[in-house]
Amino acid sequence: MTLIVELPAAAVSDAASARAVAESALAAAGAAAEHGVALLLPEPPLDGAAHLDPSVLAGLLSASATGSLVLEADTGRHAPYNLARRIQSLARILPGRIGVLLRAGGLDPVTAAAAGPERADADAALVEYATVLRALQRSFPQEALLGDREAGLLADSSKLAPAAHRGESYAVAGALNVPLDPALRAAVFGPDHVDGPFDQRIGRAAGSLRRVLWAPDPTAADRAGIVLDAAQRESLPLVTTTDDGLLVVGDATALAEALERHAPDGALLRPLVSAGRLAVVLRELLPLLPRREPLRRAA
Amino acid sequence: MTERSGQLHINVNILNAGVFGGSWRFPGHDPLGAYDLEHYLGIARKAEQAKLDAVFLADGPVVEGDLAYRPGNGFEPSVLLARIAAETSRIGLIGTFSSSYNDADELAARLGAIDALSGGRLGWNVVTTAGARAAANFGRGGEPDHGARYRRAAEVTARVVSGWAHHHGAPVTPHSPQGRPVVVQAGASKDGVGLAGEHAEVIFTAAQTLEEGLAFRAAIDASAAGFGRRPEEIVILPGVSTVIAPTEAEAAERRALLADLVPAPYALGRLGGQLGIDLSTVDLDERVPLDLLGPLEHANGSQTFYTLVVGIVRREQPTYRELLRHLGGGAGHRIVVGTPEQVADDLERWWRSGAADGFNVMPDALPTGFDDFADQVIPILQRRGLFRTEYEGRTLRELLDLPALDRARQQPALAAAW
Repeated sequence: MTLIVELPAAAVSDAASARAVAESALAAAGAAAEHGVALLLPEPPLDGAAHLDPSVLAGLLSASATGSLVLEADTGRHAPYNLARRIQSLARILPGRIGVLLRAGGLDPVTAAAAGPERADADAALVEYATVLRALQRSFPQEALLGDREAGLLADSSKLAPAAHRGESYAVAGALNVPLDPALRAAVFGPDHVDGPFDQRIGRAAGSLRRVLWAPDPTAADRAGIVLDAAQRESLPLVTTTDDGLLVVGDATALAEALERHAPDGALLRPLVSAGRLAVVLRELLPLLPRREPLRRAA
Repeated sequence: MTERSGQLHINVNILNAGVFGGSWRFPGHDPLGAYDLEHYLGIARKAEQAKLDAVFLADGPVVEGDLAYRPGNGFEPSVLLARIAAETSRIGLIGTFSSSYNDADELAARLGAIDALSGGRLGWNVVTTAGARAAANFGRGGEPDHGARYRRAAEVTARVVSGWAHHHGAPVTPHSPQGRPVVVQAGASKDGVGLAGEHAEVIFTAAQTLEEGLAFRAAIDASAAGFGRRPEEIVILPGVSTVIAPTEAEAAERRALLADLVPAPYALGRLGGQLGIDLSTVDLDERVPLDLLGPLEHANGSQTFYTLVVGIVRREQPTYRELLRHLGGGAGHRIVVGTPEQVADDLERWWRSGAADGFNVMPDALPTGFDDFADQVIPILQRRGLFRTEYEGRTLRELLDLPALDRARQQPALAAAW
């Protein structure tokens, strides 16, 4: 059972606020790590506000984070080769405590400029993107590195497995230049309504991680624009199904019970608290839950 | 020596195992050290202790074709620089990012994040990325021609800089503590000089002689003036490969060893590839014919390197073996071999002549080649008053004594086809 907690979005207008976000993320990652829980570093929509690129934030956090990090990545922003290199570098650095949650955003500008008119089906492009990513993850196995000083052979190039992908949206030839032991590769997450090569899916199907939106109190729900009627306010905790997943309004105990009951296969939890409060909230919540397993990877 | 005020600027170019093709085989070094994170962190910490201006990371989005014989860039530089930022507090962080295969807005945001998180220490080395193999990682059937790559580079650079300055659309990046990150550029081709004149604040060059260095400076000054810029807005840092030992004889020995360590298939393959000529069947002891290399316009790859090799062939009329030894499996940058005193003398001479404002130092074998530079050459430069003994500036821009400029202009959207 996997639990991933999303770092709440925060404005980053200058260096001080950027550092504050990084410090919040580090504190939250620490609280999560104690319980085998991963921290999701979100990426805003393409037209979103100034943000800290998740791979950069993860690179910074890697100096002290002991738990797992999951980066959100929009296919509309990152050419697959570029994203794959960053993810693979993080998989090497962390090592292995990394995942990527792909979001269907169509083609990135670098790919689109070469591919011509964008295909209409963003979900199909997402599946292809994940396929390319998985191929690239296998493309430079650590065992290819020889370091044979006497023979003057640094690597056995025949062990590289170039992606050699030519699909409807993407054409990616190469192997990555970042070597990795296959056991350490980043886990790839995607939505369960598309049939892609994901290690774990997010959605409603059995075995998927459930999306859970959690407001610790009605005020947090109000701030997030969630309208609660008088009856609901009177009968907290509230646990209800929405188009997006599960909404829980209530304290940590209520959330822990809801997770046990409604998200038996794991959850992607979005707490409606400030980034700065996340670590505090997690320290209250996580001891109430069974210890979670690290990021799961398909064989 | 003539009077010149100010001090040198010095970066260390962490070229994986070192600048030469056989650096990874250097005795006592871990042959796979270039794939170890601690290798980079250790050099960065050492560089900060030595008060260098910046660490510099080369990069290309492609697995190196000569991987069998030398290590490539084993970490993506924005991730690695973010990690180095966490481990250091003052030193500048310069990374190479392709203008050909990055989206300008995404790149501006990503680099802006490193800049903000590091307190304004980021520099972007703009490269155009040559080669069909890199192109094939981004859905392209072939390499865009030299001119098109540089047109794209000019557009992307303008757009990134404009994004950092919050001159278009909603801000994609936090306000930079240094006004905006520093733009670095390499490449001394005609197109490269044009790009540098318009945008570059730091220029990484490959000048081999003082005369070439001075001529390059004059060309850059003229190009910059065409864009309304002054020479003091540009810091010129030639690459210099250093081979340091306690005595001159030991330094020469170390240099000879490094030349011998270059795997032969690597040396021939690389030179042939860079020149666009098949050298696989040549006799190594034959003199390189003066007409081996045609006019510069025929060069498909790096024109800078092509010009450099033509210069060596004309000046020295070497055999293939001598030419390979001369290049030493390195990037073709100038190699200075000697005692710490001699290396310091050489750097000072270049700086006083005006051919250099400082150097992008490319040690022969890492990490010890840089340890020697930091422990032995830097103190000499400090004693001569030519290099800082403490950090004063907080940002990379301040360390480089660059003006806090905001020259960004409103840019139209990029041409859709690329």
